[in-house]
Amino acid sequence: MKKNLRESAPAVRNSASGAPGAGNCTTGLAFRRASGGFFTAGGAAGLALLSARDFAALVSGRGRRSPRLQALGFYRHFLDLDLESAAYADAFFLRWRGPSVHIAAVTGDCGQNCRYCAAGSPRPGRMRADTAARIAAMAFSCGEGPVMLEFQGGEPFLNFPAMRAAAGGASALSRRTGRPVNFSVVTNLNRLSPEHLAWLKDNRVAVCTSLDGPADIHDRNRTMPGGGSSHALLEKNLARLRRAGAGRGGWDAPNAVCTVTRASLGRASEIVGEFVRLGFSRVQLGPLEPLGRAAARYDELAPSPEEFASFYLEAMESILRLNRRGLVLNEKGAMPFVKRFYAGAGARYRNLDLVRRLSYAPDGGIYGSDEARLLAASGDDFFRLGTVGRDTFARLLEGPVARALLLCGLNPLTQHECSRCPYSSWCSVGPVFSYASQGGLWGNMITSRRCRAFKLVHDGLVRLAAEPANEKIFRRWAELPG
Amino acid sequence: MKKETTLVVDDAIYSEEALKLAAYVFEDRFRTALRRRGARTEVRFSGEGAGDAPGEFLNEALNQQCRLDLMKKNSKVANIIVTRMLLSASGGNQKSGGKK
Repeated sequence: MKKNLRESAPAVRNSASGAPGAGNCTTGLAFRRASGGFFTAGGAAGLALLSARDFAALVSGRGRRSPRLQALGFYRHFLDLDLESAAYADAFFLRWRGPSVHIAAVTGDCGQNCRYCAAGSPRPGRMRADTAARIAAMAFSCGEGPVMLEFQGGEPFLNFPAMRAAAGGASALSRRTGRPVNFSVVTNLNRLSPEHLAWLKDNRVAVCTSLDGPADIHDRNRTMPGGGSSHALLEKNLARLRRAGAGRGGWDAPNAVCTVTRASLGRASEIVGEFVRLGFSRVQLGPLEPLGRAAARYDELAPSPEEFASFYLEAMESILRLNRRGLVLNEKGAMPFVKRFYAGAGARYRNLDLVRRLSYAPDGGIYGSDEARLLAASGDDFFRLGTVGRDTFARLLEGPVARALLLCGLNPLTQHECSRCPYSSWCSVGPVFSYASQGGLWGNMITSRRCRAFKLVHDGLVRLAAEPANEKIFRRWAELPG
Repeated sequence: MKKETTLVVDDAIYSEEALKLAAYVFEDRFRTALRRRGARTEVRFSGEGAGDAPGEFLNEALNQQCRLDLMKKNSKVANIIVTRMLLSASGGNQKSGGKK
């Protein structure tokens, strides 16, 4: 604790000379300078943006005790132990029963030739229908509560029989066990036959697609081998999807992800505008993964952390402006922060490898995340946990990779930089990114470009949260389901 | 491009484990050989990428050392949590978990 203060906040050191442990002392504090003060995480769940003066009073243990900070668990001698216990159980997965999200990559084939493709694999292949059905059985053999079965590729509609087999198996198991099942598909929406459309509607499959922005950016990134505009196809099929009822009657509205490349820079407002024009109520701005085809051209295609954060915050300003004009629009990457800061929501907003999800390759290989599966498609099977149909979920957990992945999810306990970072409890720097970009699954968070981008983005979000005009909007986002 | 570089590090700062872990991280870029010399360790880099190796290697060795130091403090609790997760997911402690 003292080391933190000396290294990160010299201005506070003098006023922090009182021995921690006396009076109003703090507990487990992590903080960053932000928005003229300190964004501070204390105890298991509490987050607060404090002025420099209030922060100095807190760490010195000499100031007046604040009821607000006491309720957030910032004072060691005034903890609500029931609240702390529940928050720690949530943060450290003490009621974990297994992942609830299962991602089936039914094919490595794809009708597009995206220049940043993370799935650009030398091992395409298609999943057999019996393998797909076994994935459904695996999904229902672990976890508790609702099961989410997501279809990925390549382009999953190029192996429609496998999708139907998995969904059919999962629906039957859902009826038998009483556990609800939800479906989603990540598709480029290039091909959507009437049969596909009917199946999506019948099974209320949530559709997620890619939208990199206006046609010139999208078509430049996501090229069609035979020529033509992938953006035009997306727009046409999105309209068909909506006409069929997507977004109404219990069928989720379609969503889209923008992969941020150097081509996106300087055009944040236009990209947000394109999401609005195409009828999306959620923007998702995702960083490029150094996997597949993108790995070799990563430095050429990917913005620097500073460029990414600057782009992201420009987009957020644009989204907030539109909200102030009455439009309903949010950004998915900001939601973990918003949910934690305004609603005290817990760790379930972290998409942790193995803890929250499993991913299945076309050959039945099981991985802790889609990124691990994509890495394997490029020839590196380091993260493989087992094979569907051969290994039970309990067997997957026996290997050293499984144990390492679980430890990676405890980063505030196992990573020195994360133990001091107030954003670490919803951090998205995964072990596969660290392994692919830095050569080890623990990574080096001091030099990690993903960690730097994440921190800069969140420093910006804290700044936006400090502006009174945005509070009402963020509070509304915090109440959104999911 | 320089093909071989050497540096000497103090064992009081860098443990052998941290140095080995750092060497592993860079194994696809350059070869690293460690040799103990009293209270110090000589680190020899060779291969195409050896010219830039010392700075990057020391950054990584420091990262690994800090991680190991933290794990020394927290490994017991982290391992208890992981063991409990494994048991819980295997259905091993569902009854006792329910009571709590």
